[in-house]
Amino acid sequence: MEKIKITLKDGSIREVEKGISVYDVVKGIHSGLAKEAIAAEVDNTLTGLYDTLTKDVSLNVLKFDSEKAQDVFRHTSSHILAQAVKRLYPDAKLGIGPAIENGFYYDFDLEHRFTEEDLAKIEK
Amino acid sequence: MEKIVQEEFEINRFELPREEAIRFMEERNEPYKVELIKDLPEDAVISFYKQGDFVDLCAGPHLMNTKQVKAVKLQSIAGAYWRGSEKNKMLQRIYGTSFPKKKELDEYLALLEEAKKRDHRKLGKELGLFMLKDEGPGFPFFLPKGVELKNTLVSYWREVRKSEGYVEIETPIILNRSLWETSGHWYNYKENMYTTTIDDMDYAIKPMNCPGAMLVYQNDIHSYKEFPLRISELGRVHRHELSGALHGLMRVRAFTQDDAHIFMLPEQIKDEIKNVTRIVNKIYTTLGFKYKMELSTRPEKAIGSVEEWTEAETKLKEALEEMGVDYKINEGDGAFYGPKIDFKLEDCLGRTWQCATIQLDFQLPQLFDLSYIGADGEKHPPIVIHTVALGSLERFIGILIEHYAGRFPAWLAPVQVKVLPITDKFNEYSNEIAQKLRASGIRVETDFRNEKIGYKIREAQLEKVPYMIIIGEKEMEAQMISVRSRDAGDMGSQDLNAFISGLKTEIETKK
Repeated sequence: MEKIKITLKDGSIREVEKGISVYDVVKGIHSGLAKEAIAAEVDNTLTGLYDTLTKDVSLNVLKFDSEKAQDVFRHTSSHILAQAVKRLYPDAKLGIGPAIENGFYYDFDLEHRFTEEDLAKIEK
Repeated sequence: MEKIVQEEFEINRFELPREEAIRFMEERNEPYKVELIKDLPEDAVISFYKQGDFVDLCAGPHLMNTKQVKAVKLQSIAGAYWRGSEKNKMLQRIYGTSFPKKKELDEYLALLEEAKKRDHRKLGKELGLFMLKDEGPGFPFFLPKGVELKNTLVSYWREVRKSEGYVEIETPIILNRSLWETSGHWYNYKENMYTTTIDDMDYAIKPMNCPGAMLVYQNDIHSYKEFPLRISELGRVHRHELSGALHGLMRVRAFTQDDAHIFMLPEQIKDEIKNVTRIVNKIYTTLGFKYKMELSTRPEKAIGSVEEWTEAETKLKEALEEMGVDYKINEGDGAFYGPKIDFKLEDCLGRTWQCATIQLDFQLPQLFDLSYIGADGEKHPPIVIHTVALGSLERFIGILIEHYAGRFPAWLAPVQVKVLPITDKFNEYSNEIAQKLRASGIRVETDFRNEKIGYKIREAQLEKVPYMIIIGEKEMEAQMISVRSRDAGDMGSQDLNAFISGLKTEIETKK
């Protein structure tokens, strides 16, 4: 199997199999870190943990304490919100749903006007 | 959402060619997504993210699995035009927040609740500090108590700056176009400037104090012997902000900036950085703020030579290190005209605010052709530092209101003592007491309304006045006063002069 070199933030280098996922690399570093990892920077590009690595790269693991990781976390949260709304209101048309400072939002086009009670239902 | 999290969907990314992507979203009856795809450039990679039966058009990246989102709170609903344009349909926006752990979410929500209670707009109104009117969006009005607070802060600022060898100037609010052309604002900052015409000539209302200060410098011939020359100005500046961006005192269109420009020799940079840091440290520590320092270095696009930058950056670093402060370096984050040191202030809720800054400016001396006569008898351009300690005074007051939750320490409180007679029989004696306090330089209010004493006390508490003096039969007979402290409660019967001297010490030491 072909090997690639991963350079970590502390300068140390790990040899791994080509095609490995970022997550598996992180798990190899420390299983505790894998639990906390949200996303990563691969050659300074924000990357999901499911992505696979096919060449020598630098890797920086992002935990929730980094703003970039928070954005990824909140962005997924907005997708979960959209999925929940679609389950309850199949007619809802999706607008956009980005992460913002301290949270996220999603825009919906829907006849029904959302109420506070609806929010509690959507949260469940 | 909790259910989706529990269902532990894996999140997968896939790509589709443009036509297929459009068809895919058409089939799902998502017209807005179709529009977004159609607006993407022809060669764009079109990616989707799938979790269970849900698929969304998205550039990503995302988490690996929905199970990671352990704590979610939906917070509010608002109307939002599609693509932010009022020509389009109004959609319903749901806001929320999320955390990896329930505990983190709870802590964040508690913090939000506390911040809401401390909202400076709410407290500003309740405490009679300032008001905002439709007649002047982004142009706050300061009410008597707000002005008292502002003046106290300003006189403290002045005292600190003076003790570090500053002089103060005032430059005009309106100056002509040619000055703003020289400074570059007319070309680079025009959309944020308010302009006017006088005698058929263009003028601008200053968005910054620097150009005016440069004219003051140019007014004299300077010698190296005068350096460092520290000139400060509390200048009212106007900058246009979109109406949607305005927020209480935090984001306004008119504010007072506590600027200073320091003209110096290259070898004086280090001492001046220390001097400015001392000022900021003194003010912030007195006000109970913690802060962190950050040094921003040469960006890719920058004026001045690499040597000039390196030399300046080295001096900034040395100054910071000699002071033994911890600092962070933001590589390449300096302004194009010079490196800077920012102070990130942390309030009692742990929120950070960018207020004080020390900015080296390689451009101003060039633009205004500034010079001084050196020891060699020749002309040289001075080193210029631009610095603020509070930043926008209005914003700083907003931060102070929230930091103290309106319970200002006695030295800052707009009203330090409120005198409350139990009935109108004691008005005269109460008035005497108020006069004596005033004569000692203490800020006093009296409440002579024909209300029950319990009611008067409750109101004074809501006004968050540090001390109440309650006067009734017993007090008048014994020629004493009854004192209630906002923070310590009932302090019993006291001699007026002893109370005054205690309070004066508290004010002087800014406790």
